[in-house]
Amino acid sequence: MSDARPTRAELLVTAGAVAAGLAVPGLARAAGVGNRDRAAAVFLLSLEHLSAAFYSEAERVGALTGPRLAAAVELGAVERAHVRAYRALLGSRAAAQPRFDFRGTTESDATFARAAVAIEDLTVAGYAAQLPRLRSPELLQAAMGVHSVEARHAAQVRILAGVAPAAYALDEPQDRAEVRRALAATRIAVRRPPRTDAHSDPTFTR
Amino acid sequence: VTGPLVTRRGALVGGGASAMGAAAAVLATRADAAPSDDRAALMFLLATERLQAAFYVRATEAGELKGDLARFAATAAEHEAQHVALLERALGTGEPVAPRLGRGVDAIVRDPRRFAVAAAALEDLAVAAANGQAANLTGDSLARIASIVSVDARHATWIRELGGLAPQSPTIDGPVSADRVLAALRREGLLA
Repeated sequence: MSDARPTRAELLVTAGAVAAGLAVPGLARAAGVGNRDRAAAVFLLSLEHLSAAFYSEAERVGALTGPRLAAAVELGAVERAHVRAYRALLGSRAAAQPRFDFRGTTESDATFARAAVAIEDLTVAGYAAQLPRLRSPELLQAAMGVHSVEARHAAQVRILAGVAPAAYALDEPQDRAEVRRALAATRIAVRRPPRTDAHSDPTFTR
Repeated sequence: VTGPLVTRRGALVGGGASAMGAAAAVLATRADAAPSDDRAALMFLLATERLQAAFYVRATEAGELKGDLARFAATAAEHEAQHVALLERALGTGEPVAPRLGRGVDAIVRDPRRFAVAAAALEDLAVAAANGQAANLTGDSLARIASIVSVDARHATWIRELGGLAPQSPTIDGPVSADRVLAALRREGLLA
């Protein structure tokens, strides 16, 4: 960005944004963050896991058509890049990708769009609550840059769902407990318990 | 009183001073009697929100936009007014200084295509400006900006859809410094 006169096209891809190469600079550089930041990052990773798993499953199931399929592919790639970035930041402290049951919402155009709206709006609210808690300048910079990207996604899937892309003047923050409660209330996704690998045959106990 | 520093000097908020003066005031945070980094950043971002509000008010007053575009302009005008009010309350200045829109704005808001392109640039720049100030913002200021910036990002996606512009799906929105934001706003004809 040494050129002092960016073109209009450059402007429109948000000057300075790293649109090319699905990397999230800043997150990797924020290694060495404190406990408080790490806890926030673990939570933000859980939100990215949720949306990445949702779009990935929607793409894999193959029931979507047209712009909804395109959104699942496009947004899924971005969310998976966010997951990779947080995993790189957190290293061994990163949780494994949880298994979600999306209760069939990935299996039709209508339910996909509505569930995506809930997930993206919750993600935006979750970021809004965590950003003021971050101390690491690098992590804050990166998380802010992801926050507005999630808001772009929220508007995009709201358009697909036929609802107002920006329904309110302010995106209200929701802390971790509020996000979890809100997500549970939507009944879109439930975490599946980890599958056991033991295949012993059950036996009668008496 | 360090509050009015940026508003007095800054062209973004009127008064005939240069836009670069506003950037300099924002960036020269170590100068004598300079506002804190946090306050200076918030004042700069208030200026960008005021410019957006003025742009959409101008568009609705011109009355040339129809249908969804008119609804977008009216909604965005209301949202930006609330962003301005939130930041004014936080800063405690509250002075209603009109930003100086670029001279070409009157023509831009009468042409649906140009309006959409300009609004997308304006919203993207507001997002980039907020991200550019991330390191200067703390606590409550950061919370306020976090609630504002995502709505501006929603506007950006919305107007691209309405204007038939290429959608925008970056992995991350990058930061842009105050002086580059001001330079870009001028180049787009949005800021005098």
